[in-house]
Parts: sequence; C-alpha cells; structure tokens
Amino acid sequence: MSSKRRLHPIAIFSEVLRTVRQFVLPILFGIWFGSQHADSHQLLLDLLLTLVVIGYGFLKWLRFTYSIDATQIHLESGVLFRKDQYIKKSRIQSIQIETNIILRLFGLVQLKFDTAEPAKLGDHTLRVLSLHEAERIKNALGHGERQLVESIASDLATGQAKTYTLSAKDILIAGMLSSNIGIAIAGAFAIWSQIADYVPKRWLRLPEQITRHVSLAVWVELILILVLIFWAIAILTTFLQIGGFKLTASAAKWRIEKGIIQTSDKTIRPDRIQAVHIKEHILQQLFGYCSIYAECSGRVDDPTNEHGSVLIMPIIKKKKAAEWLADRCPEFSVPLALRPLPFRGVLYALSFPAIFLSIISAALHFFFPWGRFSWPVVLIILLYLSVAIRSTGFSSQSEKLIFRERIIARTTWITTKNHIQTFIWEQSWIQRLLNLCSCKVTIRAGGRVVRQIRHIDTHDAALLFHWFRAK
Amino acid sequence: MQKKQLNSTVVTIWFQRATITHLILALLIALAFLCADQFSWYAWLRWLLIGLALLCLPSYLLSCWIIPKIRYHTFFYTIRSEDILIQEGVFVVRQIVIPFSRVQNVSTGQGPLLRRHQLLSVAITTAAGSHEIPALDEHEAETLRDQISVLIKEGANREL
Repeated sequence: MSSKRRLHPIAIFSEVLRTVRQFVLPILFGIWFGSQHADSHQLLLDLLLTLVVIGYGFLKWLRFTYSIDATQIHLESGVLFRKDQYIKKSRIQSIQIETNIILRLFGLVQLKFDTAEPAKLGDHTLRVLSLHEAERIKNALGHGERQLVESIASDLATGQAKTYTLSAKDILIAGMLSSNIGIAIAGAFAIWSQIADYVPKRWLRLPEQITRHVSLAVWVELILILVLIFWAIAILTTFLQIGGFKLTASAAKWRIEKGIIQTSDKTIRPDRIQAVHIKEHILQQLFGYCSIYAECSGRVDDPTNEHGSVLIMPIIKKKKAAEWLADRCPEFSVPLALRPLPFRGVLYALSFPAIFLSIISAALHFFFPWGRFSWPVVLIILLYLSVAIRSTGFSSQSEKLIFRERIIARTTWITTKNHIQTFIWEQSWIQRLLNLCSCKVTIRAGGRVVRQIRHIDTHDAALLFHWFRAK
Repeated sequence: MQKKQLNSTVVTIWFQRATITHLILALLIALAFLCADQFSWYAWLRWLLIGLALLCLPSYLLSCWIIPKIRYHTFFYTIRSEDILIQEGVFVVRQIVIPFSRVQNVSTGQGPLLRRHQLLSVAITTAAGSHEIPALDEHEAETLRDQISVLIKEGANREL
C-alpha cells in the first residue's frame, strides 16, 4: 500500500537535541576542560564531536523508515545495531498523537502506538511527523477517528449498533446517590480551613449569638439546608462528569462519550474486555442502584487510565444489571448469587487489624492521657471492617467466576475462565489449622490485575481449583 | 500425574546464595559502623547498627539451615495435558495453575551459582506475569522447556 517513508527532517534536529541532553554532563565537562587548554587541537576536537553528533542524528533519521501494508507496519531502525520490526495491525491496541513544546514550534506531532506486550516492550513511537502524515498513519492502521466514527455510524444505520443514553432522571438519580457528596463535604472543610483565618472574628461569634436564642427546630432546618446545598453540589458535579453519556455499541467496537466541560471520548473493542465489575457505593446500594465498568486488555485511548477500567454504564437498577449485560456482553452476564465467607474466616480476617489497632491504641493509652479515647475508635473501625469483610463473597457458575469485595463501595467482579491467566490457591500454617484457603486469579487488563478472595473454606477453594482445571 | 521435585542440589545453592548476601550485608554494616565510629555520627545510629547486626545472625541461621529445606520439600511441579501446576512456598504454601493456552513464552536462565552445578531455572511467562521453577538439571530443564513450547503451539493461543 505504501512505500518506505521517513520521519520529518526536523527529526534530525530533535535527535541531536536528545543526544545532547543525554550527554549534557560529559559535554559540559569537555567544554570546561577545553577552556583550560584552549588551543587549535581542542577546537578541532570540539568540531569533530559536533559533526559526529549531527552525523549520527542524520544517519539515525536516514535509517529509520516505516511502511504500512494491508496487514502490518514495518519499522526499520538503528545505525550500529540494526532493528527490523514487523507489527501486525491487529496487535495494535491504541494510537495516540501527541506533541511537545519543541515539536509545537514547528507544528509537528509524534505518534505513539502500543501492543499488548508489557509496557516497555510494547511501546513504539514515530517521533516527528507532520499532523497530516500522522492522521494518515492513524487511518492506515485502522484506528482513524473518522473511519471509526463512520464504521459505527454505518452500523447504526443498518441497525447493527445500539446506543445507550441516560435520561435526565437517570442523571439526577446518579447525582443524588453518588459518592460526590462526601467529596463535596470534604472539599468544604478544606476550603474552610484555608479561609478561616481571614474571616473577621465577629462573624464567627455571630452564629453563637443567634443560636443562643433559637430553638432546636431551627437547628435541624439549618443542618438540612446545609445537606441540601452539598447535595446540589454533588448533583452538579455528577452532571458535569457523566452528562451527555452515550454508549454506541456495535459488534466490533464500542464508543463511549461523556462529560460536559471536560469531555472524554473512548473507543474499546468488546472482544478485548477481560472482566466486568459492578460497583455499588453505599447510597447506591441502599436504593438498589449500581454502575458497571469494563476492564480491557491493552491501553484504552486514555493515558491516565492505567488499569484499563472503563465506565460503561454510570447508573442502572441493580436488578436490571444482569439483563443489561446479557444484552451487551452476554459473556459476563450472570445471576449474582454468592457464597459468603465462613464465620471463622471473617474472624481470622479481622484478627490482623484487631491486633494491630490494639497495639497502637494500647501505646496511645499508655503514653497520652487522651489515649483511652482511642479504644472506641478502634471498636468502630473493627465493626466497619467486619461489615466490609462479611460482604465479600465468591461463586463460580459454568464458565464464569465472581468475586465480591468491599473497601467503601461494594465491588462485584465478573470474569470468565478463558480470560484468567493463572490461578493460585494458597494456605498459610494458621489457615491450615483453621481449614481456610485464599484464592487468587490474575488477568491481563492494562497491566497485571490480581483479584483475590481470602479465607474461604478449603473445600470451597478446592471446588474453585477444580472448576478452573476442568476443561 | 507425576510430581517432580527440584534438583536436590538446590538446597546447597540457596545456602550459598544466603551466605553471600549475608556476608555482603555484614560487610556493609561493619563499614557503616566503622564510619559512624570514626566520624562520630549520631550515637543512636551505632545502636541501630548493632541491633541490625544482631538481627543478621538469626536471619542467617533461618535462611541457610531451615528455609531452604522447607522450600525444597514443599516445591513440586506436575504437567497435565492442559496445564502445569507448581507448588511452592515456605510459610504460605501456594499452588499455581498455568494453562498452556495462556503461556506466551518459556525461557531458561542460569546464574553463576547454577552454572557451577550444571542447573537451569525455567521461567514461564503469561500475559500477566511470570513464574519460575528455580533449579532443574540441564537436561530436565531443556526437556521441560521444549515440552511446554510444543504444548503451547498445540493449544490455540487466544489473541488478547
């Protein structure tokens, strides 16, 4: 399709800059040393060095060629150590066009693409390109924006693709149930702590003077108003985050758009989804709602997202989640019936934080007069942890595996047998005495993702183990 | 399925490895102590170093005489038609299952200590990390490597 091409000649310049930056210390040293013994020989040497650096940059540019044919991209590079790389188009996970200060001066860009290989090996960069050429390569590699949008648009027209959007009511519910309210309150405290010093003192005494004369009812009203304000802020932030959410799903590609001010537009390939997780924040759980995320292998077109987690459904009734998944990615649709940990497992899991916190609290009690007040805090933390640990669970159903855990939000994680890379079960000496086991599975999504369920009954662990090994 | 153990020389190798690391550690601590003494650094630093040196002794005994034996006895691997199972661990015993269809490559490695005893380590890499069998004799390691690489080709390797 195309013959060998070279980078933009400015690449020589940027290569020289890169070399200089790498050797900046030796060069500075050389200049300093040279100034001590300045004579014609030294000047000649400096000139030679400059020529070598520029010549090397030139050769590197000359040697670096790329060509794209129907199935692959061919990269040739290297002056002393020559390198020949053929990369299949289908292996390319994502393409990013970037620019930096120097390139921007010339109106140029660089193009990065990566494959499923571990990050260091899988990254390839075409350093200096004109924007036009970069767009051409992106299109030729099959990740072009226009091509993609067109392919999805044509799928839509023929009824092969479906779109999912959120109604105003959905967004309102998402806002009311979101964890943003916690963030809003924390933010308010942070701002207050910053401006408290600048507020005139008598303003501070004002509420005191007022409250001396008001009844309890007014107090309650005041607090309610404050909560409502925070709630409004939370709803507004949620609206900015997920407003305009639109998932366009065809068989081969999904496009997810969201955001009002800072918009995000991601495309993922559904066949690259390695796992799905369903997240329920505390408020969401109380009202029976959840959000759904997909974990994809390879990087999504979003460098900030290292684990490849993509929000694919911001808010949905939990009862309908399985149905929605069945509609879009049936591979991961499963009834969420889980086995909890055995009671001794919960106790054992609690014993570590209990011992650790008790030691700290005992030390505080011993050294500080206020230390004894740390005991109720320990109790509260342990109570919360026991609730959190009790909500963990697991199950394996035909080809699917479900793990559930909670730190703050309850997260139910669903994957299938053929996406699991390795399965590990382990037992410490104490666990063996208690007849408990831990199980870990690793999948590849962005990076290495390990999910584990700890302190389940040995018999259950053995069942999971055989579930994985059976064909 | 037949359970296969490591080459028993591995106990000696772990012993030697632990000895070398502890020797280096001891030298470093001695050096730091000397410096602290000569240049009169903080007094508590000296006590810290003495504490470290005292900790070194039980750590040396443990990692030379006890851990290698336990590790040797818990370790085994077995190959089935579809996957390889590795058991390892000292205080926590774990069994790792790697289906051949997920293996991306198998490689063998040899450091100076392993070379002296004509042993090889075998590393099995999947898309999500790698697992190592620390020491097999050269013939066994090469057979295992070839065996696995044949099995990988047979199992259809799913593209990620």
